[in-house]
Amino acid sequence: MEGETEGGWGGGAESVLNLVPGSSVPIRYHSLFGAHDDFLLLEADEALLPDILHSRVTIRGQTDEEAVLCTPSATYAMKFVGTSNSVFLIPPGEPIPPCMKDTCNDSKSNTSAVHEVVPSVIKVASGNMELVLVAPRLDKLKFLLNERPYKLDEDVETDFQHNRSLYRWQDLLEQIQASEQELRDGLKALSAAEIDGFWRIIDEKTMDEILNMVLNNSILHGWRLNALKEDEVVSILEADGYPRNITLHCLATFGNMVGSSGCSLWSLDEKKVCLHFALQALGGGKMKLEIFLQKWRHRVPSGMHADLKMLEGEVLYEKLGFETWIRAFRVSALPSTPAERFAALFRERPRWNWKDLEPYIRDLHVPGLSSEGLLIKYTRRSQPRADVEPIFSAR
Amino acid sequence: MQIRVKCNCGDGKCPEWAIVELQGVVESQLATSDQINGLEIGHLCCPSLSSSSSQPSYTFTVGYHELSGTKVQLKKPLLVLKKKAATQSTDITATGKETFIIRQPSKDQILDSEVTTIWESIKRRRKKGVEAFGRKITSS
Repeated sequence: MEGETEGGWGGGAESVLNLVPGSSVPIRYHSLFGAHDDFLLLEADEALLPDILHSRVTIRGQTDEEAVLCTPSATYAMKFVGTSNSVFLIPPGEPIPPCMKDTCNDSKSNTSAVHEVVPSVIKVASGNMELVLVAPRLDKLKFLLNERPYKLDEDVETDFQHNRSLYRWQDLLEQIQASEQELRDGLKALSAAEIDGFWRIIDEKTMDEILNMVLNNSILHGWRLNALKEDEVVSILEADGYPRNITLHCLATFGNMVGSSGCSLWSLDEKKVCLHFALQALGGGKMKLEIFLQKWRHRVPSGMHADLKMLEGEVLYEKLGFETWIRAFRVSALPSTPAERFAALFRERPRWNWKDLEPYIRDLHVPGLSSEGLLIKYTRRSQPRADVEPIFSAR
Repeated sequence: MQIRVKCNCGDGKCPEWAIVELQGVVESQLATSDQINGLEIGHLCCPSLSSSSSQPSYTFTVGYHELSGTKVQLKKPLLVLKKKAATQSTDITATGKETFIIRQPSKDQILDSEVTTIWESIKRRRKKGVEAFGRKITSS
């Protein structure tokens, strides 16, 4: 490798660093001075040093993406900052004298040579990399996992396409610019399941089918929806041909485990279940609010109460004449980066009031930017009179 | 793709580099065919501490120019990273596109694409020594 002997560069940095008052030291170009494009200066917060120095840090990105540096739990964009100054880099160390090790130790003349290393510049740096904390880039995850959602009958269908568009954990780490913790959180947010070693999103129809099986069976067997016995549910559905792990995943998506002595109990989450049926009712497009409410209340399981508040960030209303119409508009279907999110929102509707807008931006997290900051950066706020609500539109 | 950043220095024992920063550019008066490797740039001096200043001042003499500056503590540490070619002797592909090895800690598993570089963090420069000087200077 260029110039790095076992002993070091022979750069003599120590003499510079330890320069005491009343002394001086010459500085020269190293015998191996050059462009050394393989050297990079990276500016890092003290807080990041432990992760970096213990090799817990990975750079991720494809050749067409801006590289990010990931610790186990955070993601940093890498930005090159140039300088017009001349930044001389002087490496440490003394060169190993070019002789056999044994004779070197004995020879007096060599020890004196070792102490007289002239500080030598190996490279003039044109700038350094800076790290900027950023949100993980998880939109791609959604895209990849939706390439091939899991369907109940899939093994039969696509034998010859075995493993195409299927991603294991390691594959996702290769493709997604996020830390491991953030990737795990992203998978959870998508209700993804690891099936046969591959991370999958389960398709809507399958989830609906299984949920309805659970609900129908609970009526048949008199199960309480807030105390479903895991073993019982899984076995009954398995007898009907539904794989255990998929049933479990459905319970985890629409419910919460309620722990107690030994037996695993699940409680269906009213909001999640009602939301599911609402979106189903709206599957055909927009409809009059009264009609929707009727349909919706008809579909939700008895004992559950459907409330419009559950649909914040999932539906939009518009007044056509005297009637209010409702349609699906899900925040989870929108881009997660702020600039693109606001662009999508303003494409949908050029003007928003705060009450309607808030549910669609409350999940945006930009390090260093509050929600007010986001509004200032990406929207134009107008308020014609003090007694009228402010309106937000595109910048 | 992923590039592991490794540090083999041992805990906090990264060797320190020195940085001398000058405003402007240093040019040598050698003919372009001559190498500047080994050429002396100048002398860095630390005059005696005067009682009035708390910070020692430095001078960097290049040719007939004497520049003055100070030692500055950097706000954030700078790390020196070195791209490391794979120890398998696979070459960089002709298109100049680089692909990377992932070293699994437990097994040295090389993935199917040709790997050419690993970034390796080898040294840490503690932010002690940055001297800043003004003016364009030439070294003789």
